[in-house]
Amino acid sequence: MENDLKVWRAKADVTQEELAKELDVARQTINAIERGRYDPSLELAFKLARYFDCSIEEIFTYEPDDES
Amino acid sequence: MVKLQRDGPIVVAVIGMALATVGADLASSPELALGLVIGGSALTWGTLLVMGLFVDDRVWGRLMSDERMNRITHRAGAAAWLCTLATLVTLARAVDYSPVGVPTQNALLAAAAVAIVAFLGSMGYHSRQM
Repeated sequence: MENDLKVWRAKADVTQEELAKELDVARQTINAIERGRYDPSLELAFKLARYFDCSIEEIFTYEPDDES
Repeated sequence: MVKLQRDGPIVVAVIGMALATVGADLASSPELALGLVIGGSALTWGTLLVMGLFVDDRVWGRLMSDERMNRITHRAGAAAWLCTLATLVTLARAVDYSPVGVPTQNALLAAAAVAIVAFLGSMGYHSRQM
């Protein structure tokens, strides 16, 4: 799973801390998602999409070959 | 780093365990030692019971603070549980056949130590990997 969360966050000009607070998760969780170490739950993915007013697919892309 | 407000339940449970084990060993009288064992155990069990009843609540502090920590905690719990089972299986026979003789209570404490080390180790590992 890859994502452009960092890009979306930069466009919205919010820090990891602010985004984490808004979505009720830890800053480390946002950081882990951006670094590709953590795949969020469907609920959190929806929350992110709603926050940035876009679709989930615009933030996350899934290529089966990426699975390790 | 431990923050008392966030990690309160775990801190209380660990204090209870310390009172029931180390505290009892250091007690000046058998009555006080027994009191520390019962009191410390009650403190630990009570805390764990509350944490179990409110598994989705913030009473779990940092361990359940959000979905990522929730996932890490469950993995660490599973690892600790399996390591403890393996240790108990080994010790169950080793205690009988050990030439030096291992007191059962020491074997149980060793299993508890393995559980704690496995849990904390797994938490640390998954925190870096996830």
